[in-house]
Amino acid sequence: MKHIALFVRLVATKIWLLQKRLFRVLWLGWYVAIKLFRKIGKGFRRFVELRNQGLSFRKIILLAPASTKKLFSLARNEFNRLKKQAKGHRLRDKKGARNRVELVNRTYAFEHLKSEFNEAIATGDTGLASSLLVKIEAQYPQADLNPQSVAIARERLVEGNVLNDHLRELMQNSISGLHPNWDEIVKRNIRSAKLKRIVKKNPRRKQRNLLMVSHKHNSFMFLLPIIERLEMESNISLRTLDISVLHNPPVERENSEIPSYADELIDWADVIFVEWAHDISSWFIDLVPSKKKIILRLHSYELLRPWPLLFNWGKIDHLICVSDHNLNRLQEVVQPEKFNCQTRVLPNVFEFSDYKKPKKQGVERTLGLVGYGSQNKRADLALDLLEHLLQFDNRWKLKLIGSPPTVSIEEDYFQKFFDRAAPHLERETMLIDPWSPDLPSWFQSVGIILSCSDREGTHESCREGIASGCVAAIRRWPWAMDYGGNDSLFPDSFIWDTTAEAAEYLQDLVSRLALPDQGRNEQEKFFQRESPEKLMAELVEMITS
Amino acid sequence: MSAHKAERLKIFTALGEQKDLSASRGDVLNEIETYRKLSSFADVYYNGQLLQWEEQGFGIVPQEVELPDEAFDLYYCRNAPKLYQECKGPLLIMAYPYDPDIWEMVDGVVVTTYAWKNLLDNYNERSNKLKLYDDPWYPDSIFKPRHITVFGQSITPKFTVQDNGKISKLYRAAFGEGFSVGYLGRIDPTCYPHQVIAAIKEIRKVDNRISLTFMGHIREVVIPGWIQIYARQTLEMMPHVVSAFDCLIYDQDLTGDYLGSVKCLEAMARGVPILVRPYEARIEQFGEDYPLYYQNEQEAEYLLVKLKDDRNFRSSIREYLLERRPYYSRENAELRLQVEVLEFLNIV
Repeated sequence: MKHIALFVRLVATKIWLLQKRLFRVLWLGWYVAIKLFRKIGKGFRRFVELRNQGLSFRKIILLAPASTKKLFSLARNEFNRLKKQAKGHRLRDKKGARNRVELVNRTYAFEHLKSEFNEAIATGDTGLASSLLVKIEAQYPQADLNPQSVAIARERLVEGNVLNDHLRELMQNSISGLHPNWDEIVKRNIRSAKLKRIVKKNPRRKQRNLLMVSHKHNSFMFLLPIIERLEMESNISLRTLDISVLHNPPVERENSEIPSYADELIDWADVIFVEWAHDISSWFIDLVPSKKKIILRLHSYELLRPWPLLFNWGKIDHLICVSDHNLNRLQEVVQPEKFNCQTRVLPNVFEFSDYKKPKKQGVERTLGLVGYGSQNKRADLALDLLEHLLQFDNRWKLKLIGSPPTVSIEEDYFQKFFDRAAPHLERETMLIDPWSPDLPSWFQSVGIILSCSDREGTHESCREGIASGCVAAIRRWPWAMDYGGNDSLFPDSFIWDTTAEAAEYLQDLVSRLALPDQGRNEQEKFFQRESPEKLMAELVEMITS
Repeated sequence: MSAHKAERLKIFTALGEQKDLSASRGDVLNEIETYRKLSSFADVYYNGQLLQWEEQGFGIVPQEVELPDEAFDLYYCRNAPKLYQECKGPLLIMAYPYDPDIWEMVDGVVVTTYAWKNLLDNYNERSNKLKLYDDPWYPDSIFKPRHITVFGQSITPKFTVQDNGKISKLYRAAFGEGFSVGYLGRIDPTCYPHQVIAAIKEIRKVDNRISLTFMGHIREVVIPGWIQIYARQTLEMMPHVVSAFDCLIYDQDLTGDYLGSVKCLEAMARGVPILVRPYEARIEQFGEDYPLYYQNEQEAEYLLVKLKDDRNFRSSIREYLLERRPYYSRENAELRLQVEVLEFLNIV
């Protein structure tokens, strides 16, 4: 029924627009005709007037060219005025109509997605349901879906690999001849890989011009420490580019797909580092000439969308993944190496020095979780852990920090969570801090950093916690489980499967007074393993090689 | 009328036909800032309702703009002519738009700079240079207002909040690193910075690390492709945006001789060098000795190159601006505003 109603609304809107357009044409014609009749009438009256003044018909005719010219000039001016006015109306109506149609289409698209999602759940196609869930979450954060269906899709999303489903879809497109399709993508990638081998990429000079590209200012977040360090490299000249402005220019630019300042930068660069493997990056890489060396960095959320499959891997020289399990996930479906693209795992660079702050007293029984406002962080498991620990010792506390939850699909989850958390908040065994950019200071009052997430790439806040001297208690992320696990990211920290295990481990550490030593040990090893100097050396090598 | 009362003054305010203050247009935001400053020493009523700064929408229920029956110590309105006739006064109105009948009727007009006050004081005897200029706000001769009160502009406190600069760094990366020059605010033919653009284009021939970014509503001008046009950002983000630039530019037609500019104050608040023309109102804001005045393309080019290449020069400008900042803090502007209002009430 809903579909029919929406369809009727869509048709009604179109009819309404059509009749408006028709009416405008009729009205304009009528208006011009009236004006012309008036002018002709005026001319006739003038003719009569001149005759009455005693002028002969011949003389009046001789005057006519000037009068006709004047009449035409008046008509032309009037027409231009009307055209200008009509253009204004047209533009205004067009804008209004576009907004209306967009709204109707958006509602229609959402209803369509929702019914597809429900159908996928009903038929047991959890792969499709999970990929639809990602789409719905990204485009319609206020959507209302059945919580049980969401839970099923989420589980499949985390434990399965949605890229397989997207690949299947692309392969089906190959059979049915639809676009984009996998055959075309592979052929294009092979062509580009061949071209890459032919085109000489590396200039025989030491100095490299590096362009770092990302989408919107806040997506430069993980690039900042790299930018700061690269600016100190004498053999690298660095510039940056925000491609959000190119992809959707706020003003119309004539005769150019991208503005010349971006063209100039691309032209100037020897190496282009593209941050985030999303659709806009893919669009941008297509615009870059093959002779440029391209480095692409993939984080984590991109693997939930079909984007990694659409990249022209033949054009890309290096792919950086921030963790092993994410690279394994990608390679299960597409192998960039086949297209002459080298892959490497390199965690995010961040400056440890900011986090080296002394801990406050009595933090050894304080757990901390960053970013609780997203269901993915599984604050409920942190609460489970707290409840386990409180059975041993009532001095345990849990501190959460982050923005409050906003996604309506997660409303049910957070309702249950806050119902459970209420007594703890009252007794102050649980504390919630609003988001603060000054995490190093917040870590001063936390002794144990938790990672309870379903899905993570590296869990940056957990790494930051370790750098601050916290002991880490990390869940074996379901997202990483079938793809090599997350042990390689945190080889010195305790990885748990159940909260009971984690509670036992932490209580044991505290009772043995071994918590500070363990924190120091994890911190030192982490510094050795992932020092910015070490990671940067690898990166610089990649840029300059 | 005596203003020396034991209790707080009651001030009635109105802005055009705005039923409330929810709009986020520049004029509304500027007026809100003025009302906030007036609130430091008076109870300010918008359209008859007391402004409560902690409340949502300042505690105002939207309703038609009209004069209430109760009396106020001062009426301050902007662009609300239908109220002026019935207003018991003392009535102050904003000094534009100009209407001789209204100016004759009201007790005084409000300006935002002393340069503006001087201009109106001596408008009919102004210099030939200004007479040649076809002023968009005032005709060749004007009715001299009975009183001119200066409601000086000030720096919004959020521009002086210290932070770790991370968000500014993100914006800096988005603007292109290198030496970023920015133009913030509406761009139209009256303020399009032709000469600075030409200067930057010239510098780019030898150093492409300099870039120019526009952020604001663009009207009736075509922007060359080498200039980056960045999407407008929220008001909360603007302090970070300002700090992300190495240098800002501000341009204006001859109205710059008297109109105030909050954008210049915001640059000052963040210690970011800003190139301006040596108009009276700018000299009032930045002082006679401010080194970044330019009058033509060559001067702009010289200053930009110096800012780009001479770190010491840049930091001396920063220090200069930060030294001037306290004068424009909200607290100090409030004190000056109080003096102006009381003086006006004593005279009327």
